[in-house]
Amino acid sequence: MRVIIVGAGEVGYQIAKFLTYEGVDVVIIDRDGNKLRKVAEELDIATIEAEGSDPSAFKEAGADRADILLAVTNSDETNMIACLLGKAMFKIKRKIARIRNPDYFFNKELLGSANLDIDPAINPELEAAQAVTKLIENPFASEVIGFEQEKIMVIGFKIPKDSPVNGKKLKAIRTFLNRDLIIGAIERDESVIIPSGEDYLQEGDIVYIPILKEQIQEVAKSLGVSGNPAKKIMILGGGRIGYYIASMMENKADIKIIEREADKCKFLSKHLGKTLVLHGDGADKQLLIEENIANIDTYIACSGNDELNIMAALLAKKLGAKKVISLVNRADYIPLAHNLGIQSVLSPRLITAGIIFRYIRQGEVLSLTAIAENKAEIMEVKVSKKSSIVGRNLKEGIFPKNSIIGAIIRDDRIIIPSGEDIIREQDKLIIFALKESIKAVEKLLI
Amino acid sequence: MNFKTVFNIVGIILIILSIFMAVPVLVSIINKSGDLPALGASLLLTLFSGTLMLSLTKQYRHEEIMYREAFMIVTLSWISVSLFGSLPYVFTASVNSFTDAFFESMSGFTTTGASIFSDVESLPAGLLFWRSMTQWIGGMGIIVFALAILPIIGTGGMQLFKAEVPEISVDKLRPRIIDTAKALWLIYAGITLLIVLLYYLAGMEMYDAICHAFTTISTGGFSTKNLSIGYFNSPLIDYISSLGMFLGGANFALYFYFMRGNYKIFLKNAEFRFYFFVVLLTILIISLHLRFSYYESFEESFRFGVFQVISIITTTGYATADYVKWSSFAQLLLLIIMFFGGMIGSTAGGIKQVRIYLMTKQIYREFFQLIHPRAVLSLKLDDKFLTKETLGSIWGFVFLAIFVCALSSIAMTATGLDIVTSVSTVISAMNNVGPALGEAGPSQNYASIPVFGKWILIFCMLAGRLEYYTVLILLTPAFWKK
Repeated sequence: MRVIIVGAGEVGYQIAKFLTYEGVDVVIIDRDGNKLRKVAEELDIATIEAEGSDPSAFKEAGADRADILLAVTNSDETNMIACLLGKAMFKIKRKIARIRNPDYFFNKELLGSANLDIDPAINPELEAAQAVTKLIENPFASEVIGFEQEKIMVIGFKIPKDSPVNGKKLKAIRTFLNRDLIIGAIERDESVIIPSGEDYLQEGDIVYIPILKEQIQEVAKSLGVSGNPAKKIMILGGGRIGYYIASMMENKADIKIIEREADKCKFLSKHLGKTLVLHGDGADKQLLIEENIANIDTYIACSGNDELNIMAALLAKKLGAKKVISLVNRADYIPLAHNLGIQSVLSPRLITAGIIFRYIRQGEVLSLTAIAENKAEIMEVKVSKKSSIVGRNLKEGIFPKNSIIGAIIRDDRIIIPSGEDIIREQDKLIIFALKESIKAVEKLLI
Repeated sequence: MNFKTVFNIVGIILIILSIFMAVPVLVSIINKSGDLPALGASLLLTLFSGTLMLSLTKQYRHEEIMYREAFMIVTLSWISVSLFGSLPYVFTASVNSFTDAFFESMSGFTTTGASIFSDVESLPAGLLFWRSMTQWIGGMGIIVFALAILPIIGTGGMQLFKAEVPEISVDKLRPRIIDTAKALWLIYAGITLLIVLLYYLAGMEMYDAICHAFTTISTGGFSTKNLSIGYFNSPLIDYISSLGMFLGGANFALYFYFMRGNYKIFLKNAEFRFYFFVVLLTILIISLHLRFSYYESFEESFRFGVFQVISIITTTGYATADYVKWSSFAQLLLLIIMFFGGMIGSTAGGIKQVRIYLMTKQIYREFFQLIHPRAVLSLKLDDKFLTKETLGSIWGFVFLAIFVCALSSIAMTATGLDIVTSVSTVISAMNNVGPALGEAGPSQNYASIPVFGKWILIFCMLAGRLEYYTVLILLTPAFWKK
């Protein structure tokens, strides 16, 4: 398979990295030679220094043999022209583009198969905003990952000291809570465990549990993690992400949004309804206190500046905000921000890369989501006919070491497996696995 | 520096080398040449050492290879390969000392072709085959071969590739390094086969045809005959050999694009045109000169002129004529074109045509600028603009080559050799040519060079093959600083 990526930024880089591990031929086009040199040094790919809308660069990249074109430059217009080129001149079947401007993004006619034929268009700000709202709705969660149109979610919970399950054996927890529950992974002191029934839970563990959407509240309660959806929200930064979050949440919660630029404030107040738009510096202590930060349930730092987001979130936390969320684009900063005590750190670029990767992935592995700083993955895999696991009992223990089935999706039904379940062909499985076990899982199932 | 990673990969390289060694073992069995125990022992010892290194460092396989490791791995691989490749010489007791064996082996793998043997025809068939084969392995590079067959080296492969294959040619043929390396080796093997066939049809025995094809395409220059190609005394073989060397001196990427259907690539590529022009011009000058100073007929002058010019400029080092007997003008011209070498991405040594081409172009541009101080000029190579850094690195490279040449030549004279022999052997070794002038001319050999001198030349051959930086960087304090 050959994939052409236009744009060697963080998104392009992350996707290229995924793809080269899969053995795909990747060619990246970018106009910035320095960026390309850096990418080419780290990844086994070909690079071409040219404008993203340059037909001869496409030709050089072997566009006539390409299966997928990914346009992820910073410019919507370049991305669209690149897709148009790919369609008109090289008949590339699949074209995926990052489109930010809502006027383009929501324009079905423009992006539809009759015209640009971009499938899908990805709006990173919108995706990031959606990820943030999931966290707002599940304030006890440090991470929320949806599967099967979000009917089932994998949620990361941090176990507090006073939790009823603190110090309990996993085997005992099932009987104690009297429900089917599988803990897919435990993140403890920078390492990740794929647990068996014999493992214990400790204070401070982050546990990843697959849960049906409607049962999330119940499970959270029984784990002793409090949580009603946030009612009072403060947002730093009135850019697109802040705007999307506010417009999605303003009917469910009180929202204050702080923006430094007057023009943006005007835009926000014009386009938002109930949201209170404040003109000022979101990292200004006085302003935060005046606006009653101590009463805020969730503080979201989503300006365009990583450093500001981290510092402002720390300040808000110190001043009494119950939960702080920070958006950080640089992948290198993410573990750092976690260590400083920011409960949730999201990277719009990583989210975008992850989503695009799901679309590109072919075959039986439907998706692959990294958790716990990339030490483990949640995979969604379709069981193939040839797999030796078909018809076998889970109890038999034929599943590879350091991996566990968290849920079985069978014709619209979701089963949280017990030892008695039997795997059938065409089942979709949600699997937790350490990085090194992924190949073994793929081998068994595909 | 992660030495476990380094030794892990060197171990892999040695295992690959031992597999190559199976070929001369086979040749020995077929020819019943009596060197089977020596070759077999070499194979087993190499295999054992490689496996041992690999098993001692097993868990480090997937460590990423950084710049330092890459330089270390490549240099150490070449040294180890030469070391283990010298075992057959040692075990057959065909050399007088370890230095001679290592010299011969290094000369083989670096495709230099300088030999300490005065009578190669007395060597057993298996050993002689191995001697030719070392050049074939070294021509395209054993690291590139490892990258072509082993995906496990992975992302770090790029660093290795760059450390073994010079920088400007890293235009990858295919997006992935493994496919690029595979393509290069397939083309290499294909052209080798073609040359075997041509030699055979022109009247060589199959054994000689294969051995000579190995050392022709790799621009190595080892022969199975004491008189080199001159032994066959056939104009047809001379011309086939010239063609083969010329092909080996061209960028292998061009063959790749040619086979992809880009038939005009040879006409369009500026470096190839320059290479062709330089070769043609030197042939004309030398042939004409020879006609009036040495040979009686135009036919002879042309035949020996073509062969010797191509043999020297592609840094092969075959001989059909003892050019030491030619005029000083012809000798000095040959010595100078040793520096030119072949194209980038070829199997030839030397400074490489593209660097000479760009330097010439830049100097011309400087003149032009003096006349038109306000002119805005840019330097292009095949429609690609070159940055100041690229040009700077070319001048740096050439300076480094001259520096190595000067220092090594001085060291050579310290052994008591005369100036012509000292300078010419160094130039010949660092450009991977083989024969030199003076006492080391095409009809003589390196046996009489003092031991210390041989080690200097061994260093020159290795440094030259890896284009100086990769080897010399290991000698800088900054490389070892943590």
